[in-house]
Amino acid sequence: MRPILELLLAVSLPVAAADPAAYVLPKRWSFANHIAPVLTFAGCNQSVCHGSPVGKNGFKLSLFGYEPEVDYAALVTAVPGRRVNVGNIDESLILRKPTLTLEHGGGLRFRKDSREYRLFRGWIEAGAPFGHPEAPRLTRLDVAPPYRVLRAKARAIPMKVTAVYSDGSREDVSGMAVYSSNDDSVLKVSPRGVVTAAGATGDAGIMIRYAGKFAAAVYGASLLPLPARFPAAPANVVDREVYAKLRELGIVPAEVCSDSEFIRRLHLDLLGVLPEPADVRRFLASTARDKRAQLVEETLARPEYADLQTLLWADRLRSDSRFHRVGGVRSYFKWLREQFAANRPLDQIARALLTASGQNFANGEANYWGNYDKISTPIETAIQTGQVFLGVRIGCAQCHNHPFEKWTQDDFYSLAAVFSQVVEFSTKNAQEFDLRLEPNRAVLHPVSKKAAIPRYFGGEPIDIEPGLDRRVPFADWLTSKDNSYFARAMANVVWRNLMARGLVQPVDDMRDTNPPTHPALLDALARELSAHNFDQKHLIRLIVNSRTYQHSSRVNETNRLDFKYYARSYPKRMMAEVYMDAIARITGVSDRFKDWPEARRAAQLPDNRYPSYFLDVFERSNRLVICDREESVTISQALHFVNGPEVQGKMTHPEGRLTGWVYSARTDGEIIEEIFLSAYARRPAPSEKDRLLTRVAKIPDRREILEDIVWGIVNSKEFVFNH
Amino acid sequence: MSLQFDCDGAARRDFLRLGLLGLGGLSLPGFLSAQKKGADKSFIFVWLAGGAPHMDMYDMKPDAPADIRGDFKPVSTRVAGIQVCELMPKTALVADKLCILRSVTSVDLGSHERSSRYLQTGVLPVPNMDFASFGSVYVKEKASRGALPPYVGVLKPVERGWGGGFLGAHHDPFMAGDPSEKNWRVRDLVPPPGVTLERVARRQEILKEFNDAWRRADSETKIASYGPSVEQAYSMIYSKEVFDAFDIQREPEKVRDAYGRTPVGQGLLLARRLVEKGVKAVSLWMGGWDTHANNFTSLKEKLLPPLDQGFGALIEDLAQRGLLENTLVVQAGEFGRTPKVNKNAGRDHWPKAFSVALAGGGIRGGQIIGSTDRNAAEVTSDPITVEDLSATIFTALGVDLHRVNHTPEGRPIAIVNGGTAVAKAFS
Repeated sequence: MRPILELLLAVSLPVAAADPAAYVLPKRWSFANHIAPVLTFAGCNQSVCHGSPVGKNGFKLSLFGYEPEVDYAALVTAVPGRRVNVGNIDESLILRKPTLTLEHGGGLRFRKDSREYRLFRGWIEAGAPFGHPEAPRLTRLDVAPPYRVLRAKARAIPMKVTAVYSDGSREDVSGMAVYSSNDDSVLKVSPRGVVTAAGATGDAGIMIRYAGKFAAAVYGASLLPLPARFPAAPANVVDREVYAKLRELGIVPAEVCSDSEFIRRLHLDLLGVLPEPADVRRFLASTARDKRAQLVEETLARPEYADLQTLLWADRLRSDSRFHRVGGVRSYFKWLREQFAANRPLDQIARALLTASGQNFANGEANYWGNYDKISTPIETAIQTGQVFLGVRIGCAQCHNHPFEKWTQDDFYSLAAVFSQVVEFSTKNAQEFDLRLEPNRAVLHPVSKKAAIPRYFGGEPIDIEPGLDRRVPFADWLTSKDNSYFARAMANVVWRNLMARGLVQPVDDMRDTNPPTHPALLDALARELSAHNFDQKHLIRLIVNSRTYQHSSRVNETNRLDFKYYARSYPKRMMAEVYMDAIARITGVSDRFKDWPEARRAAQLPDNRYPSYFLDVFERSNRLVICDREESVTISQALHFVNGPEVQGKMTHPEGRLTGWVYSARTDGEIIEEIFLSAYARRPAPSEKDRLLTRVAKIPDRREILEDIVWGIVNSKEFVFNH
Repeated sequence: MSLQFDCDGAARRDFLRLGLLGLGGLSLPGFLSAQKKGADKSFIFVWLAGGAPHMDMYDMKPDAPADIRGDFKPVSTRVAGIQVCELMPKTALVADKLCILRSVTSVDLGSHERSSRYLQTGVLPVPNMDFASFGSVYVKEKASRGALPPYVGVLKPVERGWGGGFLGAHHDPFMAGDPSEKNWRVRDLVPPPGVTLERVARRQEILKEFNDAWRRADSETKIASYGPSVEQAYSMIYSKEVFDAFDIQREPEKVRDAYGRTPVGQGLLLARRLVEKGVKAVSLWMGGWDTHANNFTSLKEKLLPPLDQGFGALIEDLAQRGLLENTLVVQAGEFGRTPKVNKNAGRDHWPKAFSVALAGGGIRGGQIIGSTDRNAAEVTSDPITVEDLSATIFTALGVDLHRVNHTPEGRPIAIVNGGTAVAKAFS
């Protein structure tokens, strides 16, 4: 992934705008409209320069120019006569440093003959005014043209950015805006806003910044020839949307996966366990036309569904034995499992968590509010609620207005204020917390120092009788049918869990400048959820019955480099707990978890800190931040694959499956077939079987060679990845 | 093996099971230009988890009232004007190589977790992402050669902040464990009992056959990373060089005794050994410093003797082997401790003022930088922020302070947020 921001470092300049001599200087100066944009265009207020939290060399500007008043003060009034010198104009540092007349850590930003220089100089000549208080303010940026796909390298899209002011006036600011592509392997954009195809296929977002405002546009690029033949999409909204995009980009989807791949994938995705050989044999042999749909129904009905959902949600909710203590994680797991075993609607789950009260060892849902065996601060709850239920990383706005989104610091504190009434009453048990309400407790806005007004996120103040629990109307608002956040956030997570990538990625980072790859599909999935009572199983059913979900992971020429448009299935690494359980299943040797009798599999373990090198090295979630598990394979993992004692121990276990097979009447061929069915949900190809049988024949110690083969299988890519 | 907790309830992650493993005299600009020609530096980071009491170690205040100065007295070192705690005699012997920063100042972040992240990365922590530790940032800059991992971790970290963070798990330190344990070996370098090297090779072949037959989406990082990591793992397994580097038994008994037969002692010895063999960064985490109760007993009986012995031996050893000039050693914790002793004979958290010790890597030894008031409570001269410390570390290691790394989503993260390297440390 490429940098969203184009870093303008020391020696690269923004391209000079149109002939500076021809540029007419404004008659009525407005700092916000004329000078502030230059600070952004010239790169002065980037986060690594003067826009950093501490500024640079004592000169601090607002990040990306969000606060023109602050910037004006920093330039003009903070140290009078220094950065801007009205009496001795050429002494002004703002003219000397960026032109490298004086040494400047940021290098050359513009030349003396540039428009930027002339603007600064003209403005200082006019007395460096802030501008008339009634001067029109910039309200938004309009961007043209709308979405289209570039199909040749020679083609270009010249972008047009229009500033719209509060008095209705419009101005073409295309030449002074700052453009950046969020994927410059797909689209490049010149400093003048001309978009060209860079080579890779797909859509990319172009972010435009001007005068503290920003806008985003999405275009596509595909240098691939439009395919002559394209498979027809079955009548499922997922396939309709996915295939429409693939067709537009010229990416040919993979074929449908084999039955073996389907049953294995479905089991891992829905249950977190491998299918039993008996189930695999039955499924492979079935000739029913709708056997896959039937398998979906059977699988959704199994108890392991609730276990896996509990684990996935525990990750996102950060259930942690250090924060919530043993009593807390136990109750949290128990409560979550009850919800998913009953297929409780997601809105009810959200509501229960958000309006919880009482002691957390007894009330699992109260754990939502816990942190370090006390109550989370309103700030922490705001960040968590933002990510988990709104799909928004509001945390950036805690300290400054969000750089790429419309969220302001006020929005952040107004969200935190929703949760400020929740306090802790001490319990007899020092490790447990008891949450109750102190209705008048407030959160102070750090700048105004006054109580922040609690608001529905991005909306109206929460207006209820004093003394009532604000979380209740907030939960009502969140889960109402036309709330644009909740259904989309939930749908996106369900999609990501099945498809390896969210329609918005990262899943909890929805913003205008991070658009979904398939906006209409995300909306459709959100509508499916809210129209069907927020029934998660309904949505899962819809997705896994699509052809898109059932694509093979094999690549072809056009889908080789597709990582976003679902032209093929994206393999996922088995979660640490699932991998541990899979090994236990194949070898027939279960794991025991001291002090956790309720956990018969690692996926059922409430304690995410249960001492286990295996789980640590395979990256079980640390749950200290909400983020996706790391999926790259590290050296420590690889070493553990090769030499780890668990697999060896289970293979040699006297009551293990391998021992049973070796001393049974089964032939080597039967054993190999059984192992393949357990591990890969398929039978070995004849050549595979022959090769392995040859090996077995060569080694006198039959047990040893079978162990080596099982070892090879459980460490192979085909096993370790869910594909 | 017992779990150790700090006051936030942090338990050490159980990584371990028993397996069968002076630039003298240059000004800062002069130093920086000399850097460019010099050899690659190595980095040893000695982390005192819990927050070490500065006024009982490097910043003694014998004239303070009894309930502040505590139980210990200062002693002179081999450098006139530098005194350290009487319980640190070996450290005193290498004072001529140490640069003691007494004016480090942090902010109260409310927890061990956040302060540990701050001091191990140099960046104020944020809720939704992890920044990269100094060692991780450093090894990302260096091309790694040979089978040895570029960054190794010794003993066990207590709080977050020690890893590669947003840079990715492949910049995490490779965890070596506790070399003082009987029959210690690095885990998983050696096959489990009953599996000979011949079988390892046979398994490798079988695995290769399975993997060659299965080709899917090799362009995906997660699948693509499998191959190189497995390859690196095998090269480590078969490499005598790696095996020897971690084989602490090869050190003469005398040397092992000199460092002390303790986790931190043997851990520091391993660090020296690894650095000698070409490992670029080693982090060692020593727990137990969160002395809210019985501060003096803990220091006297559990904490200072092993640290002092190991650290003193390390500095001396590096110097004698000619390694000190190219090895930056930093000893730090997440904050200091309260001047006023509490009712449990302990000290509580104190981020406002504390000490950090530096040595090697071009740092000029035999000096103290900065000072605190008579109670070791407030910095009175040369305040050094955490960002300044970070800048100093990266300067010594030769990393460009303007370096910017990117998160997977493309957000730029400067490695240093506005700090200035402490020039006096190099001159």
